Amino acid sequence: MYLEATKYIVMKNKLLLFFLSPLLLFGCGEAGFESDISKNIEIDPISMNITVPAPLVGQFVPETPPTSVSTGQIDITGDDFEDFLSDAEFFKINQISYSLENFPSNSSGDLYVEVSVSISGGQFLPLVATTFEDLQNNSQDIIIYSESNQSNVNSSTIADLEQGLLNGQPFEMRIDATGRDITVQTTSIDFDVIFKYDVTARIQLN
Amino acid sequence: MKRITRIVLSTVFVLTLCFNAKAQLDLGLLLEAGAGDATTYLQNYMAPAFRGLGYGMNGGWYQTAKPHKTLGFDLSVSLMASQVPEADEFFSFKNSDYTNFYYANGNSVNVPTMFGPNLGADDLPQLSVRDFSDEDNDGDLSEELIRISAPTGLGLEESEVGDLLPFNAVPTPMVQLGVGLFKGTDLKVRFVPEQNVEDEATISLLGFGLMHDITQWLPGEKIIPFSLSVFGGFTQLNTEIFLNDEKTQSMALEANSFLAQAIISKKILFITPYAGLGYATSSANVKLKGTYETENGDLVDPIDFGYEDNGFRANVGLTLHLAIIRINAEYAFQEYDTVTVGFGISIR
Repeated sequence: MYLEATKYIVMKNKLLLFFLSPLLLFGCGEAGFESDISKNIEIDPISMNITVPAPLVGQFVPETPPTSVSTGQIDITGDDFEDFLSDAEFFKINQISYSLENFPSNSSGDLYVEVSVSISGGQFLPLVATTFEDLQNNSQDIIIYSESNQSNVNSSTIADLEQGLLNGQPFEMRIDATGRDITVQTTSIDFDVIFKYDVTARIQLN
Repeated sequence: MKRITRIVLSTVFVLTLCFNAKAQLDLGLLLEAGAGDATTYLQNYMAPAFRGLGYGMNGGWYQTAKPHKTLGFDLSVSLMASQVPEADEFFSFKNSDYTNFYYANGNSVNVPTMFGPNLGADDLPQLSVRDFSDEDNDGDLSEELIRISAPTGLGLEESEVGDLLPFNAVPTPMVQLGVGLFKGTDLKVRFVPEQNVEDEATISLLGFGLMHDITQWLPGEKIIPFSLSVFGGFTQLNTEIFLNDEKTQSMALEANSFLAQAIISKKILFITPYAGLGYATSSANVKLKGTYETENGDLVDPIDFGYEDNGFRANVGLTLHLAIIRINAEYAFQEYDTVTVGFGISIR
């Protein structure tokens, strides 16, 4: 009797499996699905300033006094990846670039910059040290970090930033800049630096 | 009945179970390219599912060419599996077919259809969406707004059911009642009244078929050693899957299929081999209803596309009779070759 009942249950389960096969088919499988979502995110323009003593206006200046600016909190995850954060497996920074706006056309020079970042109010970590060359001609995006160009970048800070993005943490940028080989027509010039972060979120759906 | 409708529902609307996860992600991102581009992409991506469904709906109508006696009947359950040709596992994404959607590394690229392999993100091409509504107000409408992996296939061959089905196929279950009327004529009925499936979807199915024995009209009827019938059948499936709890967003499908065939069969002891030859048509219309927010503005009822298939259908099958139990298997030759297995009861 027990054996018959067992056979019946096994048969019933097999039939059920057979007819539920479409459900299994579309049950998305064990592997789940992977997708990359990438955006080249433009940070709000950062206003910068170069000053030179009045006697040096119109003269070649080898180096200007250092200047430092900080951004507000930058929330890339919250602003651009919020919908995907819960399914994100990792974030990857593919590229960092900059462009300049409003640099006076009658002035010229380079700008040595050291960019550091503070993740969620932590200490500032060095991100990149590079020279923005020919400030008067930099309206297009210029890449300062990419997978094939990591020479100026602190890779551990990139890794920390990527982890911060995954954790949904905002960060703050600080730019310490010094003008080099500068020729300006006024004692103080203002211009904007626009950074772009090309970021990929790897989404895993199970 | 509820279980059957759930099975049918899950089968015919491939998106359903994955929609809440994968498809919502894919769909949401595809809609960023605008309704026109999303429609073009989805039509290509989903083609094997709905074409396979159409081929499948034309199966399972009969297990013999011999009609019932008057008021004899049969109740049968069938599962059709329409094989997706290898060529339909991918489609060519061409930049020229899209306005706001593009492949940045060339003019075209092969991407998986829904019935393609489940590829990892590293193996999927990246597709870009233009900032066509100038979201950042910089006047540049052609710059990239977002890049996404091309939606992957479901990878059915690699899933648990890859062991169950020996090929990549669209399954279509069907339940049907056949009743003998008069003069060697059977009426076949497929009917599922509108069902609300766990408040997530509705589905209804209606189909009618007539099979008529023409042996009786042939000279020498008594000595003709086989049964010969003509058959015509029509099936319509309507389903709507709700994509949110408020039921303000949904995907609706209407699928129709029609089959006209001549059937021949011969009962030998408890086995009946049979074959059919004729013409089959099928069509499906898919609509995405509701309002969808995108970075480029709201889209209302953004998707509406359809498929049509028609062609000759030839099939061969074998039915095993065990008292009133009937078990059958069939193979149909058509663009999506279809295997059918079924069982049921048959009286008179």
